[in-house]
Amino acid sequence: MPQYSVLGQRLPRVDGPVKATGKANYADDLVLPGMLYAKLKRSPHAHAKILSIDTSEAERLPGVRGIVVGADFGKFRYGLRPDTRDEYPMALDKARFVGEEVAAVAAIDEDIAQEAVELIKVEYEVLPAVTDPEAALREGAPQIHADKPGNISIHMHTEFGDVDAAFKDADYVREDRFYSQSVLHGFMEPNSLVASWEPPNRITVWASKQSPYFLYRNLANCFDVPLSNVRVVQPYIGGGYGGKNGSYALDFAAVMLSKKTGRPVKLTLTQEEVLTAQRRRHPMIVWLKTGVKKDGTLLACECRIIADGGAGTAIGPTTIANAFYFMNLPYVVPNVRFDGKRVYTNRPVSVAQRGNGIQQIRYAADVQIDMIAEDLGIDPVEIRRRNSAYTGYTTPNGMKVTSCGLQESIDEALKAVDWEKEFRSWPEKAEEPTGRIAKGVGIACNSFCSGVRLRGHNCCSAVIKVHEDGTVSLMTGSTDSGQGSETVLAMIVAEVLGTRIEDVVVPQTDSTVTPVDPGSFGSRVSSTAGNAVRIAAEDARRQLVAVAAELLEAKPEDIELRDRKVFVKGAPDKSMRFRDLARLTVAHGAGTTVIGSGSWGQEIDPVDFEKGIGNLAGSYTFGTQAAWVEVDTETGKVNVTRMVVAHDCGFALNPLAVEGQHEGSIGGGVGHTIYEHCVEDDGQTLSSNFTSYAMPTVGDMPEMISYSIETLDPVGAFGAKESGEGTQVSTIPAIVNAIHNAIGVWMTDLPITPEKVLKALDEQKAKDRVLSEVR
Amino acid sequence: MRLTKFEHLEPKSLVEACAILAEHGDKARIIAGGTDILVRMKQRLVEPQFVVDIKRIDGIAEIKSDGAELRIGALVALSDVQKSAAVREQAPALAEAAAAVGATQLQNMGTIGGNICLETRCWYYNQTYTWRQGREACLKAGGSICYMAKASKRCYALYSGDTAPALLALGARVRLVSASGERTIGLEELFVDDGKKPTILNPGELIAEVIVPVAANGQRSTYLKFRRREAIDFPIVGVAAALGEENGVCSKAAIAVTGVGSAPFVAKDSENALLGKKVSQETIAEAAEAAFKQAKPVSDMEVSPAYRKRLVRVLVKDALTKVAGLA
Repeated sequence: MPQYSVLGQRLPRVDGPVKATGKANYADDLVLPGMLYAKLKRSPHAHAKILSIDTSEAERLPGVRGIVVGADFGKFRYGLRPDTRDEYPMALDKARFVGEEVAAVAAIDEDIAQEAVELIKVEYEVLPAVTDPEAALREGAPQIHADKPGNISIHMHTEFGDVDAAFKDADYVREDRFYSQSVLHGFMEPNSLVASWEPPNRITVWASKQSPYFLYRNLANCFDVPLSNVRVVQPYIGGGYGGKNGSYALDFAAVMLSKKTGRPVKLTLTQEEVLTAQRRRHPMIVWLKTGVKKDGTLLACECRIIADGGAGTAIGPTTIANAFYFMNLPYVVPNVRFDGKRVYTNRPVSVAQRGNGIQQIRYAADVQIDMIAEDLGIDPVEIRRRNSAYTGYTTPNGMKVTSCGLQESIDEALKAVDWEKEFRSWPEKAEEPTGRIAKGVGIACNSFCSGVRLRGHNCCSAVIKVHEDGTVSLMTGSTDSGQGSETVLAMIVAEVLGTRIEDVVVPQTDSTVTPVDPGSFGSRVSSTAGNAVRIAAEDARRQLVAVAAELLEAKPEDIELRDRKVFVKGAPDKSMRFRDLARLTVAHGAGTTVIGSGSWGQEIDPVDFEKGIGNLAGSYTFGTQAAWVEVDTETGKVNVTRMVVAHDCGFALNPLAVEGQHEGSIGGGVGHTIYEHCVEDDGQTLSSNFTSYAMPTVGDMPEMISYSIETLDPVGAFGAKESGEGTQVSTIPAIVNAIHNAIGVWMTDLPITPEKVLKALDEQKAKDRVLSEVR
Repeated sequence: MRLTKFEHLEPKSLVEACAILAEHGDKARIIAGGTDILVRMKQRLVEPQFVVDIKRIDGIAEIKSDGAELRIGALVALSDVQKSAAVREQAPALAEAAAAVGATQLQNMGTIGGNICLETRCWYYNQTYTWRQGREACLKAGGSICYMAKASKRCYALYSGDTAPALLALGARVRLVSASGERTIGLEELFVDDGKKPTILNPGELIAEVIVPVAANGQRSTYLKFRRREAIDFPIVGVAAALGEENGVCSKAAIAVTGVGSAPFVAKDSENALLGKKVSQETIAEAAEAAFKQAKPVSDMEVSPAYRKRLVRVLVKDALTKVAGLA
């Protein structure tokens, strides 16, 4: 392992104190002189033609300053790709889901705005709605978008190898259906922004966005202003998890209201609006067919998915592509076929959520591999080891594994679990009498993209400014939505310049000042922005070293920067303070202000949404997870008591931050597996608050133990790969496999509620009875 | 979510409070801890013109014990109920139930009187004003349909208070006061199985105190709550059981269930299955089966009626096993 003085240390987050003391300003904390407050009018219908909108009474309400409706935006539509631009800023001709935004009001306070919203009269012609993706595919189903026949939002069909021949050669083939339900991002800070239009054509928004640049481009296009006139400033973000990537109705509405009224406008959603009408994870039906040799060697996988896309496409193409790409890792599968349909329904729009499309399919695949192992009498660890990807492996579709610590992660997880002692397969346990509480242990492996290659803006950039007292500003476009990247990027700067983390300031992202960046998603920041920051810091270092060499009369290659000091190799008497060097760079001779800059992007082909050919990401992470569960066989309640994560993150830039990411992933995964689901009736969401939408509490979380496997990836910054999403992928199958190990049933329909567990146990008992009668 | 305009009144005595309530009738609502009513006011489920804050009233915020009875003032916070040594010793089921309500913050605010009077709840009813605009008003909100049981003429909102079953199993009474006088009734008489109005409290009447007979020697009690998560959630099913044994046979058995209907219910047949018999796994199973038969849950978004019924059997069995010391 390389020796670093800052990197690799367990440093607390730089934004910790300001957040813990309540001093951090989030979008809703901001107040501008003359600012108005806006509220949205939403459709009560899942599918309805808008016949008329009467705002006259609302306009007359004292305190109301402006009202906007869909028609104010003309025919502007937006979306990820030209062919998927299917969303209007606000509903134009019809509403396509319950809660779709139909009008917005700005008033001198929130209460008046809300009162005005209630005075707006919208006349609808209610249309038949479809809220089930399989029903939406049937002939005669209501058509949600006129230009998208059959309600197909995305259809990806691809094949590598000869799947049919491989199934013929297989000793054993198994096919199963899995379902992953509708879950929410669950961020604590609702979507919020303050927008200010300055005539003739400047837009400034302070918005809670994990990726401000979708909004930056969308606003430029929608309002026809140059990008240099769109200023998106990033306040502190209260979590995003994929739900604060895109542009939403509230963003367009606030800017248009500001333009109309000439005043800044704040629009903050209520948590109810977020939970009932904002974005959510794609529900997915997965049919997976897998063929193996007798020894468990994987020969072929065929996967068909139907993803419920809701009423718009948004970032959906990436979700479907991700599902395909991750049929191919973490195991070696020589032949793959994929058919993925993303279907429009009259539901809120599905988008990326931590794991975007990957855990739905990896949950299916990593449970099915346990099923196959049991059917063939193979140890579940053995079958994973046998099929594990490895450093240097290229998948049939061209994904290149630059580093792979999967085997080591299995070793580490098993050691922590004391697997040899703890694990006996279900067939071994089945005949034994168990008490009421059945205990089980299960494992699952994962792989994830570390820094996806995008089709549009791909590279990350950084600018470093050295102040004359030796402190440093790091300008980056990569936002910290709570994952801790501000801390980790500051650590990289401190490492390269030989200063300390407290000497590095990372100002908030501001699109007119900080470099443009794709944003914080696809597990890009540490690996991709990290490289850009490293290059920028090295650039600054070169400039500093040149001056130091002159001042200390040494060769530049002999200059060392360490712990706020400048040394000369082999000359212990020659040294100076870093702050003096910083001062002298501007004062010595003609002087030079040290500004380092750097850009870095994955040098691979852009993601292929059509056939899935090529390398999706710069590198890939691998990991193994083990879960212990206790199942109450009388109530059906599952309690996840312990979870071990062993994750190949390449290099832990800050182990404390990595552990935090693992714990967050486990929380999200436990919620997805056992507790959370959107309760709906005819497209209306009944689980409209955090009492009814049940995210796990701290009391429901398992004991968590995490290990980092360090493989020093050649691509990622300082060998680092992602640690923010992969773990959430394998949380689900680890729990499902552990439940099977406890009670012998396969839970393939999420969430695993106590009632479903009891039903499965009943069915198992009935089957056993029939079998024993036959005998 | 803003509150509609109201006048906030602070009576200093029960007499004054009753007079105010009598004067304003249905336009007035009582507030104590506020954990239930404030949410409903924000959702505009209730829009009182007068909010009668009873927190300044003397004498109804303490727990008194005279050896035969525990008298718990309606204003006693749930956290004080669970911390009270007298309650823990003499009425453990109540201490456990108070500790099972919501979460710590809510227990600090919520009062015993308010928890008993907890409004029935429903997926379609406990929603904001704007949410409810999407569909025709339900029975509880003044309309004519029950979305939980569409063919029904009655409201099936669920009662989900935690302390009421404990108090029922302990044989508690409540002292009710109003402008026309006071009356003390068995808690069981307070409730009616109607989601729209789950208590017989008259307009202007309030609970002043709860009277719990001190457990006879050898009598034990407990409250078990089944919910999705370890905190926050209302019970899917809650069961309280009290059990006394003399000369090797059951001399007292009381079982009460919450979360199943529009009112908590006392499982009489379960009690009969135990009284006068030796408490054993067999008799407990019979008692649990009797409660299972008596429970008539309706459909709910979270669990099916059949599952809820099964849970009643499991929880009654578990509660009795625990208090009988057979676990």
